[in-house]
Amino acid sequence: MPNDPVTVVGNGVAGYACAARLASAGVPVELIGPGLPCDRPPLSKRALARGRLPYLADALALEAAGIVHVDGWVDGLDLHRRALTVRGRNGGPAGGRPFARLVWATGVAIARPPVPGIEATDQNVDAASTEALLPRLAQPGRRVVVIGAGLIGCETAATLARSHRVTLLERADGPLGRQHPDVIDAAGRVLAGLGITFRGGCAVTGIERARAGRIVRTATHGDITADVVIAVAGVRATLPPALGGGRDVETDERLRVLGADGVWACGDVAAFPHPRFGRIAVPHWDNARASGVHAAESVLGADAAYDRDPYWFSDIGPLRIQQVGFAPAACEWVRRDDLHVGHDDRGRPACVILLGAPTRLNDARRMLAA
Amino acid sequence: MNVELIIDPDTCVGYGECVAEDAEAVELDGDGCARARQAAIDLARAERICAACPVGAISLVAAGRPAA
Repeated sequence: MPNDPVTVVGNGVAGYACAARLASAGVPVELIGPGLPCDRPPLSKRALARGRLPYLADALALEAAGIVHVDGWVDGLDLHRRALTVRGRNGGPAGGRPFARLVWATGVAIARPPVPGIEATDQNVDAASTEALLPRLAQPGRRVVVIGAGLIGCETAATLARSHRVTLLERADGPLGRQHPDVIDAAGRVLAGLGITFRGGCAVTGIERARAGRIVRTATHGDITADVVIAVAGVRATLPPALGGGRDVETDERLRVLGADGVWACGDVAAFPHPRFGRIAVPHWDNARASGVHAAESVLGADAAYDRDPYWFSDIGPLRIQQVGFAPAACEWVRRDDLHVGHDDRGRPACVILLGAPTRLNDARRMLAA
Repeated sequence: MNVELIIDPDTCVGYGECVAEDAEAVELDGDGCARARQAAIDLARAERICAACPVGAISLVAAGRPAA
């Protein structure tokens, strides 16, 4: 029913965008997630640089918007009984919580490599972990080891290199291993220019607590002593078994979860049928915000299809990387001025990468639309 | 009428729409955050830049006036 309450699970960009839109339409909304809604914590470069987290709303703003915030985690989902099992952030037993309509927006979680002692490392992948990390970085000149040179690891290393001595460890030979070779080269040059010690092909075997700090044991580069170790290697699933237990869940074009009545998904976890690229999940900020709003509109009864082209951006020190379109659909790449254009098997641009060319964003979009 | 762009660094996420809209008026700093390149610009240009920002990080004031 149009005014049945909606429960939104996940208080990141997608969940908050969805909850805020629903609340603005007068729908009773419950938003479940640990802590206040927080903006893109995995990319919280400014949180690391400035020492404060980018919250999207405080308790007063949530109340004013008509959003009921449940401060905790969802441990279980029973679609048959239409109930969630919720564990409060401040302890206490987990309890059941019924829902009428449900939007799942938990995002992907950042994984840590499965090595002994990994629990002694820090992360900057959500509000709570970043909040715990910041005091350890308050004093400049710390020896910081970052494990994992994906986008988050590289951004983190580049940000911290302004005031700390940073070593970046990566299992692959170069940083940003899944990106276009020119992106990898550019990132490597930038990291070196920032004074970051990059160790590619590195096999971390364990982390040990030392009298002062940590020792990172490796099979390839010896022992590395650090004051702070941050591990951000890969992503892991967050979905409950009732939604498949994987990293994403299939939705229809209106972001309704297939086979689950009255359940929507948005953000990183929504694998939606894109009209050109097929079924895709896009774990980036732009999609989180846009699909969160779209899911809310869908809950409200709109029948428009979600067909947003993927777009992401990243700043690794002075290097700005932007990408529009879907790289896996590209089978041949050509360079046009400062744009890298990937063509699909019909010769049509499917993906455009901008390296240090933010003024060309609309040109890239026009190429994709041509 | 000329106006001044005010960019809230806590709200800006570095999306880049403002630079794509008007690279002579706005650029990205070393944090990927937008900043104005010109002290004052034409109102119509400024309004297009404000409208391009997906998070409402850009506002404008009459040139020479302190931000609220």
